[in-house]
Amino acid sequence: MGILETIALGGAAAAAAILGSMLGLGGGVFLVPIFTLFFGVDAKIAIAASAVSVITNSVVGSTVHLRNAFTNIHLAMLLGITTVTGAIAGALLAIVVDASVLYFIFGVVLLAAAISMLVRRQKPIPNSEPEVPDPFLLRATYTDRATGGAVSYVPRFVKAGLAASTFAGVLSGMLGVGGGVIQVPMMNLLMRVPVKAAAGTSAFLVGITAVATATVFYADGKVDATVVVPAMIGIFLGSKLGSNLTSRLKTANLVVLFVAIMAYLSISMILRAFGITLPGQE
Amino acid sequence: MDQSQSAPPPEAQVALNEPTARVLTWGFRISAALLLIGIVVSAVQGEELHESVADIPTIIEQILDGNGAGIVALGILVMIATPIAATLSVVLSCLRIGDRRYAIIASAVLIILFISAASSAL
Repeated sequence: MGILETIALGGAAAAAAILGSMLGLGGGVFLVPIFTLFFGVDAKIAIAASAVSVITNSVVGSTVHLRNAFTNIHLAMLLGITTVTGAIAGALLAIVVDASVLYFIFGVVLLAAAISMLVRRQKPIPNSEPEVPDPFLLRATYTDRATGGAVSYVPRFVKAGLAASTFAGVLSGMLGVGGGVIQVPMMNLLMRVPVKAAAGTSAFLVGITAVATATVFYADGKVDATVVVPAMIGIFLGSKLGSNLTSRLKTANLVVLFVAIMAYLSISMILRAFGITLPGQE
Repeated sequence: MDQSQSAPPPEAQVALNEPTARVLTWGFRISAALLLIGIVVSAVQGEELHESVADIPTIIEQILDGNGAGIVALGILVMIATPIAATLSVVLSCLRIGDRRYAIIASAVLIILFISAASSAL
């Protein structure tokens, strides 16, 4: 691979991370479609690169969340049992199925994410009362700098959360995405975990989940350094830039544009599953 | 939601989070340093990165031969291993503070990850 192509891959990864960061979805959701559709990277090599990039983002992002006590390690470990198991199953499936199946599933997931962006609830979900029973010892506390107060919560509906995490793990393992796109809403809407704690816990958990994916793909010889290195660097820099842009721009105004990009990528992936390549793609 | 104006995170939470954050920070630093050194060495030697990251004994051989691509491969593997080290840190921290239930749960996650890595390597 030439130096220009390597730089282009890094730039594309940064663009994927900026988009993902501004939408709160993570860069992996965009990385695989962009690498496969526009650079002709093999789907399984792109998924492996995405998984390693997800780990990089998790490792960097989690340190801040851990020090702010947004990360609930008890919850991450408990959900990790089913998520990691699901990810291993998903990654093993991804290794054996035809790439067209992966294109199709990725397209459908991306389309679902695009639709969810449009119908996303605007009102915050009420968090759980700290007085509720806590049989799994998941109670946690953090300080919300916006209000200056301590927020204490107990995650609810843990068994349902464990089941949903298995599904998130399978998707994560199969597609190389972090799974945060499922984990954060699941923890917030279903388990009544405050958004900041859900995001902090998910950031840590997706890194552990992606390790399961990456090891399966590494053993299958799909971790390609010429793709992984620009992806890691691009995702790292793009996430930083995306976070800065998100705090300065009114991203709500850009959501329609981003959703249109997601819809385009998802339709492209579904068409690719049937062997149809749109103009301008490889 | 309880929003009292007091209470930093409980000590047990801090005892779990701090060591884990330190492991992640150092994992990132070591990986980033290896990647940087590997890329520079590769560029100086005029060699390309390997398309498939080799197994660990081969990577060690490559590094001993002064091969930049081997150093890059090690950097990638260190990054992949960092969350595993963080999970191990959680196990040790739980044992230290007497949180046996979550020491077992975190150990289970670690065992699943090791089984995945080991069975993949076969």
